[in-house]
Amino acid sequence: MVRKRKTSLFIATMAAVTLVVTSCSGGSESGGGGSAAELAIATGSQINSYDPPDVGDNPASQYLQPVYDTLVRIDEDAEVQPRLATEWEYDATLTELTMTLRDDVTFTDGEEFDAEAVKANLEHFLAGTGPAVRTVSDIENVEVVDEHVVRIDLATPNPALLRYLGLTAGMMASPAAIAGGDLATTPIGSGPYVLDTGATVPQSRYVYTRNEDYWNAEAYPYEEVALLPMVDHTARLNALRTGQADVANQMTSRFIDEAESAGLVATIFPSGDVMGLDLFDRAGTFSPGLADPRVRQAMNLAIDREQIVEQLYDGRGLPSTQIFNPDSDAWVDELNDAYPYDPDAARALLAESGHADGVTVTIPEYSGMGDLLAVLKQQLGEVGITLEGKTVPDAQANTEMRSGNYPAALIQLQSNDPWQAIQLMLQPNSPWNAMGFEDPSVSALIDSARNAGEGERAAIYQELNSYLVDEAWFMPVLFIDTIMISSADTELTPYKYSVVPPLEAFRPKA
Amino acid sequence: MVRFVAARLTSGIILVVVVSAISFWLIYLGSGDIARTIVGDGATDEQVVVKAQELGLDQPIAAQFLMWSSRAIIGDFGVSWFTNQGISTLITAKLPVTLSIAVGSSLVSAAVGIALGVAAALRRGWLDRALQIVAIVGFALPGFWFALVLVATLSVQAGLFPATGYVPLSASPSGWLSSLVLPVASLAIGVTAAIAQQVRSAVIDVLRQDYIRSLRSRGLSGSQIVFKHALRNASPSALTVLSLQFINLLGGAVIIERIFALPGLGQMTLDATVQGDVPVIMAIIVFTIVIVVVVNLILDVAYGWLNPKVRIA
Repeated sequence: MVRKRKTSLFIATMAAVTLVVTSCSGGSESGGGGSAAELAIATGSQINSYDPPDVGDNPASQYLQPVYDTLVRIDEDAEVQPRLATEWEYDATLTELTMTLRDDVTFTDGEEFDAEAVKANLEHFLAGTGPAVRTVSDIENVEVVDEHVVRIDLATPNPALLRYLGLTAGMMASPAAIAGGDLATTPIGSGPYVLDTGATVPQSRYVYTRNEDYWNAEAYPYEEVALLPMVDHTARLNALRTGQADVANQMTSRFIDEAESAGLVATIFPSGDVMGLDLFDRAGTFSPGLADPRVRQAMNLAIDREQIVEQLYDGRGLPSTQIFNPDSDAWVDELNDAYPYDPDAARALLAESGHADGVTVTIPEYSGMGDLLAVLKQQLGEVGITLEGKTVPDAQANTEMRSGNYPAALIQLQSNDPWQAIQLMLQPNSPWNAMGFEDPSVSALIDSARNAGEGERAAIYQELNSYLVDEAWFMPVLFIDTIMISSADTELTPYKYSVVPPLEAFRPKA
Repeated sequence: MVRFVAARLTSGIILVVVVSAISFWLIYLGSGDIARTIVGDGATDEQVVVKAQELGLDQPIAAQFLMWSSRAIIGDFGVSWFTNQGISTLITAKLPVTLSIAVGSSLVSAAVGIALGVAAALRRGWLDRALQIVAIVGFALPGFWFALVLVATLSVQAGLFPATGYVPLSASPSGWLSSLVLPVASLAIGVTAAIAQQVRSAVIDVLRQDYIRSLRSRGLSGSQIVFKHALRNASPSALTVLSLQFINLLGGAVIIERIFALPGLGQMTLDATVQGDVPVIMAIIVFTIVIVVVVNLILDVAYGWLNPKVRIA
């Protein structure tokens, strides 16, 4: 008897607690979705510092975008538009860029935005050590010409400089904050939002509230922006499905069906991540076979790009023999036909070059590589090229790949503006030219591109591209599509060249 | 009693020192060029050397350990090499999350496990067999599988609980509870199964003893026998399982924290270990050992209170 009463009391208590708990929670805890109140983005990247020189032009910069204005704005077609700078002009030698600045902008700590501020910011950026600093290292001086006119002097022309001034390099922080040395933890800019340090929970929820005095408020309809870092893809999709987030970025094709059947919208666009083998050892130091273009061409013929894209990426990607972005001036459609899947031709080339008994290429192998490495190993193996993986710890993977100790590496790199790709992979001191390989023809073409006017560059880029494909400098496989999933009441505009579109890309659906 | 506690605390301190030293050495061996990873891709070789000197990475390992421990003793765990955040602040912010899950799972699994174990031991028959099967399944399937199933059904489909995120207790007690239900449930299922099994066998054993027969013949009611006598004698095994499982729960929370995007120690530990963020890893090790020592001490005292035979005078 006692036992029975105690049991029913226990059950009654549990039922009551459950009722209370579930009724007070429900799905969404934020006001996201549909209203102009809040935009919540579930993102796969994390942030360590709000100081622009510490941050690359990669997804992590989305944590800085709400707070800092950039000198220029990159629009959805990757064209340069005015923002803090209203006009600009190069001189005839392309080494002096004079910019006229807005005169009505104040930082949120009261400091004026002027040419002195630009100088302070650019010098602070150039002294940094983050991944984006080398992209603008041509800048050798910043001159204050007038209160709202600044001149940037370059040691050599930089064809992509204006684009970089629309990314992290162009982010303008308050000079007082720079001098205070606190930017890594407390960002002070002139941007559409300010970081709400009270509501922000590091590594969980970053909250940005509207900057009431912003000079272009109409472009940013949301009162509040929240960035929710979630490492797990499923967690991001679940946050979206339960209304905790309006957008989940950096998703994969695996989630598209589930998202669409839940009434969400999948936006798929090519942003410009190229994946394939970077063949550093074109001089044949580690792997003598790689010095012969015929061997590298054989590698390109040995893989079935179409099949890889279909089966490993659900068709969400573009097979490519080129390292330059398909939407860029350097892309040549015909070059994609240069290396059809032809193992017989590959074997013939290997025999012709005297390597009929095989070539071995060792690359660093780490856990984030997925199935692509297995497929490449198998397809290259079938023509006699052994792709050997040497296991390295994940955290050391980047450093190992770029150490110059390996003949090649399986890379996934951003490739958007052709000059950016050149800086990243083709110059002697490029981070992804790990063995510093130089070729007179390539150097000559890079020099002409550097000094060419805007109208002439396209032809030079295409010539460079053809040379690289003919000589099989790389073994590119595909350009991966970017997949973002959003709620039905959020309008999202894909931006060319952006893995993570800027804030302006999001609006509540009317 | 006091001597018992003092002895335990002393051995706990020795444990902290020994484990810290061994871990420090292991991290040092495994991490490669930390200075370069910290300063980033754009750094020159000189900048890497400067950073290494700044962090003391060029010193012999014993010297580095002494530097760290001399500060750790007074509670200064330094700053993260990668994010420059103060480590004590980081840990105080994240510890409540991980502890809520670990302690919550322990309490829930203790309560449910004991209830199930007693029910199985008393009723026997089909209920006992059914519970056995359920227990084995619960024990065998991993916590993250339960997590994914629970999230898909109770959160995404039914909207009863939030799918991600942690609400601090200070912000909203009911929000805190509801953000914990699914994570705790996922972890508790396995531990409940283990405890239920232990309690079941222990209670069956105890009920078979002669003194139980004499208690019954003296007219004690069924529930009095169970709660006052049988459970007390069966509790040692349950508590042992619980204390072992608590350590598992502290670690196993990592995957659960990922699935539910909870800002706990798990993800921070993972990131720090992969990157080689030595101050963070060392701080987490110290905190974890302290928690484990304290929890085990509490369980041992409870052990002694429940069962005078094992009390240390």
